[in-house]
Amino acid sequence: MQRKYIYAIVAIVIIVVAAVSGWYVYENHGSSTSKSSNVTLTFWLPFAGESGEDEFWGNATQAFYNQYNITVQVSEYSGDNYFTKLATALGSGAPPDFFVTYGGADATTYVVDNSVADISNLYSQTWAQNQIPAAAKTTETVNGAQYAIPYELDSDWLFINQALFNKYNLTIPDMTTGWTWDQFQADSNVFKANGIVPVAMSGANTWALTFPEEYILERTNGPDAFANALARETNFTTIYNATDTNIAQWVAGNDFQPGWQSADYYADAAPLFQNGSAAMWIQGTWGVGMVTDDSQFQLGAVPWPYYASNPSANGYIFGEYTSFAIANATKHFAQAEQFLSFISQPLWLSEYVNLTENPVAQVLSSSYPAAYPPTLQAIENAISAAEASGKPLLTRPGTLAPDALSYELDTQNLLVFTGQTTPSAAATTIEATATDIIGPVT
Amino acid sequence: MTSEYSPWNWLRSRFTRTVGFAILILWSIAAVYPFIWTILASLKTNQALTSNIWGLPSSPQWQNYIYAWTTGGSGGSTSVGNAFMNSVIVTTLTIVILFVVSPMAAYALAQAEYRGKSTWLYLLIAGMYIAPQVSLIPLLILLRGLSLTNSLLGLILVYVSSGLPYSVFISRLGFLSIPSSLEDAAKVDGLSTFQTYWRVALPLAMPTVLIGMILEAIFVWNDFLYPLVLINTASSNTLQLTLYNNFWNGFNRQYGAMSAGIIISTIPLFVLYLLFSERIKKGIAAGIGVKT
Amino acid sequence: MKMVKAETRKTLVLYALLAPTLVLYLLFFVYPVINGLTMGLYKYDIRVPLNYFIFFTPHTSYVGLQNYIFVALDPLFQHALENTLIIMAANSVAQFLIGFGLAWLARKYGKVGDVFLSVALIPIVLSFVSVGLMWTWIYSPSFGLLDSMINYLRINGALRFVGLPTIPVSLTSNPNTMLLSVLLAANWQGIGLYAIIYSAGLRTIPPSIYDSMKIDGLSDLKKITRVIWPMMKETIALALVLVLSSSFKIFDLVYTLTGEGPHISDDVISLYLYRYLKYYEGGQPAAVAFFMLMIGIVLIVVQFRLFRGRSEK
Repeated sequence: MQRKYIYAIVAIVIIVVAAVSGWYVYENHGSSTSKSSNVTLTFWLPFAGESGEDEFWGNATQAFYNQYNITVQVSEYSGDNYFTKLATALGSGAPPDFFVTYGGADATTYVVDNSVADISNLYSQTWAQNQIPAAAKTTETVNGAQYAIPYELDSDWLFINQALFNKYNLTIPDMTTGWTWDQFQADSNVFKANGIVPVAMSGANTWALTFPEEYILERTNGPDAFANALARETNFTTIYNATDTNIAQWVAGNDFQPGWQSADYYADAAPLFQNGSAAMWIQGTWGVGMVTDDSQFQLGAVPWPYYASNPSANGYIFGEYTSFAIANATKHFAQAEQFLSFISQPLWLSEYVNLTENPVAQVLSSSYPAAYPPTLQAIENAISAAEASGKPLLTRPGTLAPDALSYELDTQNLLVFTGQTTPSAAATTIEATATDIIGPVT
Repeated sequence: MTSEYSPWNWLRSRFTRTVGFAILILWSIAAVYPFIWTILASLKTNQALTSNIWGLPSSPQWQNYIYAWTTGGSGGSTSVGNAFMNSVIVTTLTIVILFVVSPMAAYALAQAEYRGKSTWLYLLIAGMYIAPQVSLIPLLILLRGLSLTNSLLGLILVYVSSGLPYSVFISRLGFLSIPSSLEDAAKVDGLSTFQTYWRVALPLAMPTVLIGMILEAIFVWNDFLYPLVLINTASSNTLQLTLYNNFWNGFNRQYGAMSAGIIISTIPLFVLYLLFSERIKKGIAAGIGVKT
Repeated sequence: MKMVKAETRKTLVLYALLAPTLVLYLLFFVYPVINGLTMGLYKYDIRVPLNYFIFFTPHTSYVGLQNYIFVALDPLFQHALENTLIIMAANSVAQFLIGFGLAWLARKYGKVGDVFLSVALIPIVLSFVSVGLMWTWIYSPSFGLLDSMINYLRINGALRFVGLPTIPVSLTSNPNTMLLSVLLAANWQGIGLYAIIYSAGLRTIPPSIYDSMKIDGLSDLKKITRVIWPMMKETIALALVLVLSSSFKIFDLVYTLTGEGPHISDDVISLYLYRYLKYYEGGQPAAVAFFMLMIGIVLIVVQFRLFRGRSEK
């Protein structure tokens, strides 16, 4: 018995020492922002783990503190955790001072809920008029007022391994003229014949599957189809029937990696793409950071293919403005606005680009150059060109639709991709839910 | 009837013994291997993991452990080291409170019928079947009203209350197995109800109570959901959440550091287990009970 | 007169013992749960701040039983319910057969057997998330351990030779084997605990019984089923209660292994509920939780029936 007690005491001592040392290390490694300022603002972001984020926010908040003696406490959470946490915080009436919104219908929901503060006065300041493009401003406007500052411009592309395309003598499509579905399939067949997976999929989860779905929906039915159905001018059955038939056909062609359904988000798809086992990867611009780091890898981005029967649907790009909103419940509104204009300074915009390699939504200044990797630069150019030719950035259907309908859209989409339902059944369910939530077709 | 010692029986019993032994060994290997594999994974770099899945790491990356322990602390995440301490505090205090409070209730609910006993008993046990998500938002509002959001104390109170059904249920089994003759004897000796509880019943039921505490400790230490929603300051985050935030996101999954983190987070429970495995077995035996 | 007073005093003391538990439980558990359950009567966005303290009325409309009806009729809910019940049943059987089997075997080897049982208990200290992550890695189609092992040992070749169906590439993405993959991981972790429980139960059987069984010359199986099991009723009941209540709420493991998106073959109730919360729906999760509670009550009644002989003194 004696010995057991000795072991127990030793074990407890070790654990206590470990705990104390952990705290000690933390205190000394921790953020250098002093805690003695009077005002502290909280800022929650969903970018946990993205390279450069920690560094950028560390630098920015430190500089802000040095200048204004206001602490901004940034907390990063990953994916789902962020939305669970934000929703419960909002529901309990104690949200963070800043959080992320995506403009469009997302912004509208928050405005209706009275969760976000009106920051139109920021938009009337000179810097905003110079730096925030008209298209971005429109997305952030609800009932004539603006509620968030657009910061990051994310768009969805078909990323390719240029080396593989060259190896099999396949033409790499131009970013503005694009390529047809038939060309896409022909190239996929070449890859399959040579033992390469044509398209790496990021698993059977609702988020990853919205990217191919939104494009197939638009290329099949045109850019206005979804919005019209949402406004109940047309029904969802027809458009989803067509879309899901195309999806089912594509899935049946076996263009994805074996066992793709349980791929663990990007963590499984990315290595396949990076080591050359897969030729293409559907992804948003935020996700290619790790690939662009590898200088050996020849990364390219091509637009989603269009159907030869519907060429006018070509040239549209899906994307979103990752924006920062101020919570209506905040107690330091003026200081919060100050922070938003602070990080919108050209210096910090270029810092953001340089550290995170994400495209920014605001216009950069030539006195603070930012180095985009070539692929992202090409993407930036393509987006500007598209907007100039009258094809604005499209918002994802899931963001346009009210949450309950979004849920149904995502669910049915996953069921179609995994072969658990037929296109017609999915289309009918979606229409039924839409009628239930929004109302019948007028 | 063949004799017990015929060659045929001897062969058969040898065979079953060997097969039985083999099964036990196989199961032990299966139980332990994923652990060993995680330890090996914590010593490999990301590339080594994908190319050399099975084998020993060619160059053990011991620094993964240091990296896991100290990284974080700026830009809104905290280090595993700091989260470790938070988890120790939360788990220890939760168990201490439960240890005081639940045997008392379990003893009271193990007694013969009195007014309201069944009601409270059923109400308490029903809590074992509630999914925590549904009460999250009202709970947050309540905590806000009491100014307990974003504090470890709030977290502890939540863990204690949600752990009560389980620990009372298990402790109660321990009290039920005490022969009534002992309690009658105590009454004859002139002990009050509380004294009976404190001097006679509790010591006898202690092994079972301890099992409940250990299982609760494992649950609280490993929990993820309550800290996520109730704690806003990264520096107060607990271990599981920090592991997830720091190393397991969609992009730069640092499998090595993550595995190191898993091993780090498992060690205290492992120590607890080694110290108390004898007690656990005794406790279960006691709970099942001496026949009256 | 004195007897009555003593009786009341005893009850008072018992309530005093019960009080701290009840206060904590009622305040921090029951009250939020009841609030949460009443949400089932409304349809609303959970992000809208609720300002009421007592049995609130959220901002949007009262819809009565609409949520409950919708959930009950939703085929996805029915599948989730079905799968949860399957998991509960499968886990109960697995822990009973394998757990008891291991305990029985271990008993034959004395001290060495004890060591084995201690080793088998190790996985229980892992968090569900850790177990899920480990097994995701093991099951991973591109880089996983299971696939390497199957290829290395040419298992599929052997199976094909014998005419049995081969093991598919990725257990967690094939709808036929998804549920199986979850069951494997869950039981790998849990069975150690049940083996220990049964082992303790075996110890409560007097050695004389074992001796008399040897003399009778009954075969092992007959020994077990006819003699041992009836004597271990309480042990079996305890194990059953534990496995049912934990399988019922299973969430983390399924979420980490097969993701959240509805998979008809392995969706479970907690996951179904979680998806609604993710889309900020307030009413439906509460309706689901209500159904879970109803099922839970049935299980509790069963549980108390099983322990009936022991609960009164």
